[in-house]
Amino acid sequence: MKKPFILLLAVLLSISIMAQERTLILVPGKKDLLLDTNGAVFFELNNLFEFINSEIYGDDGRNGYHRSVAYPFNGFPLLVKQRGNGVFQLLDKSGETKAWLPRGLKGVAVKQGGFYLASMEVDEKLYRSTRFVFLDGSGSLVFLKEGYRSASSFSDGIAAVNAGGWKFINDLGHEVKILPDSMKNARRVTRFHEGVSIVLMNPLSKSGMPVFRPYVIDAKGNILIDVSALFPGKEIKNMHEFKGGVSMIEFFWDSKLPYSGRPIAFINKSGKVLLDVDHVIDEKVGEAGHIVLSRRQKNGEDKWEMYEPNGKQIKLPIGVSYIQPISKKYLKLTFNDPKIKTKSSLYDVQTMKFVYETTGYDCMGVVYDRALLKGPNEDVKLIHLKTGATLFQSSPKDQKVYDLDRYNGKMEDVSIFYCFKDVWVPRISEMTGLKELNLSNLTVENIPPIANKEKLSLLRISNCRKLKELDGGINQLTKLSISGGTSLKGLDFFVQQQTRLKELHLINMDFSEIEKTNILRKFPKAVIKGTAKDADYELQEVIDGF
Amino acid sequence: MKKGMLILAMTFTLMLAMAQVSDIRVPVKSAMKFGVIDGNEVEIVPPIYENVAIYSEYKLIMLNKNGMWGVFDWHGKMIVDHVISASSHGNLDFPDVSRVKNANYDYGKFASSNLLTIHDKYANVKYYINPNYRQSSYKAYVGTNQYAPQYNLQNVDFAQIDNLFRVVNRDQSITFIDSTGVSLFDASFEDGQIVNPKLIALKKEGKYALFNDKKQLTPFEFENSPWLAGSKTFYLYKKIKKADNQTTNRYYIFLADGTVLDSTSSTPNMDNAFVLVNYFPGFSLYDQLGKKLFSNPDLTGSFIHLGKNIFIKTESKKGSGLLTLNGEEIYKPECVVNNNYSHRSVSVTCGQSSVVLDSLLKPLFSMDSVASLYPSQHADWFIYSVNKSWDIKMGLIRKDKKVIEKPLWYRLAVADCDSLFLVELDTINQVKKVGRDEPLVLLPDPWQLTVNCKAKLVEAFDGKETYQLFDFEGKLIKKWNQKDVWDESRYGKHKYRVKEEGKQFFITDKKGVPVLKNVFQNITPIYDDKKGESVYICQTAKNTHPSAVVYNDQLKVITPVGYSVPADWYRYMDENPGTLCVVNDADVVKNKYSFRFGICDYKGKWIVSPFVGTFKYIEPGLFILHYYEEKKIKFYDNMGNRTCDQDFLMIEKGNGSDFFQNRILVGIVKDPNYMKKVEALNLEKLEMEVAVEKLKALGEPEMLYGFLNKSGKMVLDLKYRKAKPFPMRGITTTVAVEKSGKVVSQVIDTSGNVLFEADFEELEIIDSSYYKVKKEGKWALASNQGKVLTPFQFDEIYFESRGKYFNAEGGDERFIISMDYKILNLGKYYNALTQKFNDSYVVKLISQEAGSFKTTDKYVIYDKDFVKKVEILDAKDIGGEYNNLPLPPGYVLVKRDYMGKDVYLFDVNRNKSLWK
Repeated sequence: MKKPFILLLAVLLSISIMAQERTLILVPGKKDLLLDTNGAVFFELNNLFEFINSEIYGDDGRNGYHRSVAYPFNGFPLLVKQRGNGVFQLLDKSGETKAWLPRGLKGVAVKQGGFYLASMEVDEKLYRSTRFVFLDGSGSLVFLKEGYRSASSFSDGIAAVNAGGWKFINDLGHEVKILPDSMKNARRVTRFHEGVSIVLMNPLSKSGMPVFRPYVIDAKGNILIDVSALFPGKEIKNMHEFKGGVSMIEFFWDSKLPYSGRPIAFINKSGKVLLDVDHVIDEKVGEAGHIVLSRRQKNGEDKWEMYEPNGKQIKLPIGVSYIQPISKKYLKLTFNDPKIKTKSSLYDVQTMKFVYETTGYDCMGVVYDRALLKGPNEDVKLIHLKTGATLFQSSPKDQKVYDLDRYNGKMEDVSIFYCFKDVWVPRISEMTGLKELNLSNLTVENIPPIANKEKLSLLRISNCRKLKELDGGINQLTKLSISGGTSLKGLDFFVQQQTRLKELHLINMDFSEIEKTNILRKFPKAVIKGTAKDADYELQEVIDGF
Repeated sequence: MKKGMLILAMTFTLMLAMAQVSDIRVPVKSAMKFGVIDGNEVEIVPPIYENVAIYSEYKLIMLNKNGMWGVFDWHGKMIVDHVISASSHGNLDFPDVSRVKNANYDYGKFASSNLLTIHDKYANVKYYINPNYRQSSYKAYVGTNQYAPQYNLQNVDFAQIDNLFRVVNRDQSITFIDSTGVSLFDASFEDGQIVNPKLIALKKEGKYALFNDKKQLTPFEFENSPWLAGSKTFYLYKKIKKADNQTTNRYYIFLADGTVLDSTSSTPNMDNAFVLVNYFPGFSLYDQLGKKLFSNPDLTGSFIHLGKNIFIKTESKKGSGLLTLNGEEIYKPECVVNNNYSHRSVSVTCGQSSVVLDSLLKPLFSMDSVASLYPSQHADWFIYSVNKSWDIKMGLIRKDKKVIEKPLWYRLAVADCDSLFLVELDTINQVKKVGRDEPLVLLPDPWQLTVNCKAKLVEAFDGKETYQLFDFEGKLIKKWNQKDVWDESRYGKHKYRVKEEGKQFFITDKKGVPVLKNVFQNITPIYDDKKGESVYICQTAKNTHPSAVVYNDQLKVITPVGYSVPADWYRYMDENPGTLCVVNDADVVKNKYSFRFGICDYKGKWIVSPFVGTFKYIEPGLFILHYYEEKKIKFYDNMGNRTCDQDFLMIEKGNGSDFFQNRILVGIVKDPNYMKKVEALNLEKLEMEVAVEKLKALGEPEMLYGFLNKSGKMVLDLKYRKAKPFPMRGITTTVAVEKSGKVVSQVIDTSGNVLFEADFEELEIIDSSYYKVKKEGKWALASNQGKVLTPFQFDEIYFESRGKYFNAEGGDERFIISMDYKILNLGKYYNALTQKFNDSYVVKLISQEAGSFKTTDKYVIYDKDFVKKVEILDAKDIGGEYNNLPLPPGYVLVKRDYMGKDVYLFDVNRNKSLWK
């Protein structure tokens, strides 16, 4: 009687949590933002922090680099990490710290099922290993305090954990009898996702490779699919979670043969093999179960293909050179045909109809028909795909200007400028708010005077071989890196007059002993390496400043 | 009839006793499983569980099954199923149970409901239960309580909030439960704040709504959590969109029942007793119950608090005025009214006339032809201002209307001491003294001046890093910058610094450059504030002598020739900077227990000439020196002067590291001939054991004791025949004096006042209520009034403050003395260890076998009336708790091993073990 009640309670709780959940849009930047679907700023994060919106991966347990644009919001507090260190905190609505997560965590996954899955390094006396722990909504460590050897996030009120043997636990940390005893020694058990869990058993393999025998089980522990039985004679390298009812299976291949792609198969939850193909170079399953893959043809070319979740092939537009499923509803198609003007667009995954051209922008994600696009200058905009309306646009002040030709803001708003075209050089004088200036591969002899020299704190010059002199009024730099500035005169004097310099790299240039001594006397930590000759031989990639 | 009554009374008493024992719960064990019985041995829970914890205070039973705890009521009915893990609960391995504080406010003082919380630390969840009202199921709330009432709601009377508890759902949302543990709402909220026992403000999507219990009184439309003033009324405000799309705030004043009293467009003026609502124009005054006291159709009002009195400052286009709380007009709103908060007065200027009124609105001082008038820090001085062309200039005037300072200044402030005041004019800042034309201190901008009355200094700061200090005569005492201060706090005031590299120490200049070639094992610098000079005690050796050399600021060795400071004395040398204790090096090398010792200053000049002996104690300003050859203790100050002409034989410090209560116990031998006899023994030439025997043969000398203070001055003369040092806490000690040839005991204070005197040979304070007193060599227990409570039969009496009884010894016999002074003779034993718990005395009686060191022991349990109940022979220990929870009276836990693993529960009254 007790178990059904607990399960019911768990289900009800997860329903009530789900009911509160809404998806916001994460805009990464100097200050991370959360936007609502109207493009209004819901929360602006202090620049000391960054939002955590990723899983933790593998045996290492660190956060994935990629942060999803879709930010599941189920109320405050918000999980953040201090930039530059590993301190995780929970912030309340006013941005105040509500709780510090325990010290020494390696990674913390976004909250799922009411709990944060986190990893920590533990001293096992002879070696250090990673353990996985759960934190509740208040940031308190719960369940096994010393941590599990492996653990999945919570889903449907339960999580798979390995504490010397695999089991599922409920939201009180107690075992829920699902996993058959024969599967407790599995290599890995995934969370319940789309109603099933994948148990990767680890039988002995002939080749000595870590071959898996995966089983798909339901919430009662019944084996739905013995996956290896579907592919007799093949050795399974990995099996991925079901997405839209489709799972991808990777096989080992004969590494003695020349590489021409890998064998991959796709199955559905009924155990039907949807596709079993070789020579796969790239493969993905979209959120709605669409299969996308690139196969190497006999002529050596790679060709993209796409299939519906039932395995039926979809006709692709001409000239597609890359396919990226962006959300349940949308695909990003990239074209590399000189005859086609459009270079990238979003398409409707169901109808394969064109939706929105994204040429020149990187589509970071789509949430509720709102696409977040990142431009060449790290400028972001949120587009309503149904109406085409721009719901949000980042301020020019927040941009790093990499491509001045495509910068639409005012010159005085440029604070970080990467200049690699001679024609852009004269415009530097218009940039009255310039804080960081990067000059690379220029052939000019002079740069125009900096308007507000006291604001410039970083100057990075790389391979500007003809540059003869620098603006003598610049004296508030905190970071200076010059590489291959072989024509520069008076550099000793320029360096001496800096009053706030903390980092100095002078690479691949010739200095007299006196100059070198003078520089080192003032900045003992300065890095001076290489000679002008090294610049000729382009050795600077070895010691390239910061 | 009488017999019938008696039977009835006896029956009633018996029933009451049975009811009492039936309300007892005792853990029982059978076949390795635990259950629970009551005091009548009736089974409450069958013995089928792995462990049991009984919380008698809460009438709650916890039972463990398959490693999981379940919560049960006093009758064994399940409240919470076995869902609480035994892990993660520390050594005890069972969940925390506690009574929930009112409103669930952890820092509150009150816990007046029967709501309990069971904290499952493994899952960090809490179950809120009331054993008297079992519910069909209990929700798990988050285990971390996060309720802190908002600032303006901390004065809610939480004593009254005993049926409303704020709890946090596991998704961090907020809800409320009642004292039976039932949730008030199906929904959950972003915040919830308690206003009074009935009203709560709940927040959803950023807006607050008001609820009376479960009933929603307002929509979710308010921006703030309730602002409560006094005990009754509070306000909430909402944003209202105007026709021009701009928003404006509307403030609603609510009564304690949640009804709206009034609303307005500005923050209401709220006071403990009154509410003032402005309408622009016009205002209304209400009491806290919502009764309208009066209204004004034209003016704007605000409260002015003058001490305990409250008035209303009114404002119109013409100026401000003053009303009483009855609406009576004191000043028309045509003046300038200013509240002088720190002076509890109000300044009113009407036209060219100004008056300063006290808290009863009685005029303190008034002036004509002025722009304003204010009180100052000095009760009889007032600061006035006059219009001078375009400027207003300030001056100072006395209550007798004599002008102290003409109105020449833009700013004028009176200091709270020494008739000083500060004035400013354009770029000139001055501190002036009344009656003196010349300023004490005059500095230009940006110097800021402050008068520090406590230190009697004028402080000047240039706003950046430089400070100057002037005395009250205007003399510059000191000028320094912030860096110097930081350096001083880090390195001290020394001319040179101590630098450590590895384990080597150097004396360096302020730039870190060594000024001496020598390297030392340690260096301790000491600064003499009086003379402004330092010495540096530099350790040169560890186990040989000399072990240190001392340099002064001129880097000269300063100790007299042939003398040095032992390195490990550095820790005593900072007690009296300016002095150094030194020893004769040749003597120490010869005999490290007997050497010449002296005290010199930092020039090497003797302030106490060398003698054979050493220091006994060093206190700030005091050296207590032991002259070995003279067998005397002498007191010196830090200038080398005797503080007391008397020499002493002994000194006692007491139990601690200090001379408590500034009293040093000293003593001399009453009969000078005794010392002559001692001299004649030539003790120095004897072996130690022989010397002791010889001294014993002389007999114990009669002594005279007195007390010195820590300046070395005699404060209580050498008149006490016996004395104990003053304790750390308490200002009394016990002494004995001789009166008419008889020794009587006294309790005295630090001034020597006799607080108690009685005809006892000796007296010791047991605690604040009891003394032990001695007659003919035996102790008795006595009250602090000297009333003897037991016979004089004991060699020792100890008070057991935890169990509230006394242990005593007399001859070979052991005793227990109860708080009503009944004496239980336990018999003759080698030792008797007593404990008292659960209304029983549990005594471990230890016997030593004749002619052997071997001991045997047994436990005997006596009831509170000293009736012997039982003897237990197989116990290694007996306790009154199981699972760290107290057992009921009449039950003890017998431990058959020291680890506490082999245990059984014993029913003392029935004389049997309850565990099989």
